[in-house]
Amino acid sequence: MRILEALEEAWEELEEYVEVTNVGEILRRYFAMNAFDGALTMLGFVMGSYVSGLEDARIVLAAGLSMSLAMGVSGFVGAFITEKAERERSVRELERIMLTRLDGTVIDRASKIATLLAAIVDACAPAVAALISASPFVLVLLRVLEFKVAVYLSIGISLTFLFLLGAYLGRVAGNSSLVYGLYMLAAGLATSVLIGLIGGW
Amino acid sequence: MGEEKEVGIVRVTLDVLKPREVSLEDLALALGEVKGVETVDITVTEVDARTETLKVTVSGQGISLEELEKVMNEHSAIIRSIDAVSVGRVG
Repeated sequence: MRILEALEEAWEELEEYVEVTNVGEILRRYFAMNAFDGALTMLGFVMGSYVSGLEDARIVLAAGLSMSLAMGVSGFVGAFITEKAERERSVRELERIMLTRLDGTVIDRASKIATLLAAIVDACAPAVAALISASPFVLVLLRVLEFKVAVYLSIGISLTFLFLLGAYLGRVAGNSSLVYGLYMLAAGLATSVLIGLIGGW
Repeated sequence: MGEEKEVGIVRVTLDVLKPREVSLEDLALALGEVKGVETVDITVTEVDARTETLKVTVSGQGISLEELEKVMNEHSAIIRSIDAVSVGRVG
């Protein structure tokens, strides 16, 4: 019971921090932008591997996993430093206006938590999106799928993911999910066609 | 002859500055948790780009100004002045 109470208290505190820093909107933006990056990068990579004649699922997976890890680390460090700088600037500005130090107060603590949340979302969104797109190649290693089928499946998953991401943004905007989904899908298709052309050439 | 009651603060009005991001509700509820406090009234008197000026009236029995200030500071708010104090026999 005590653990539950402690968890509930921690959750309430987190909710207060999210409200104070208005970080929800920023997290949504980071998630969408970086998940888009992850899915499109993986789509490009799979298409590129395929048109250049690569037929080794292990290489695609190893490179895909490395790429996800790199995107995750890059996302975490980039967002952490950027958010930290921006939030510190905002707190210092508030301190100047209020003629007081705010270290250790709710604003200071909330800023630190918001920075960490932003970094985690920025790290996980592209990595998870890329891993989902790369998942069919695991089935090739397990001899469930043929390489070619995995390529098509991976491209299909990436394009579906892009569409769903767009649909989600459409809902956030209070606009048509279909239109936003199609925007994202168009970006994915354009990338595929471009890479296909490069492969043909 | 009953025991003599102690003198303590029963009502205090404060001029407070807080960041706009900090919710009025959270601050009021936190002040309400302070020992001896019975009611908390907060009125926003001025709104600036990043801050809000509040008139905070706290009533109760033997209110500790130090405790109130501590809670204010935890919520990134500062007491600019004490505008009114009422004391009475409490306990």
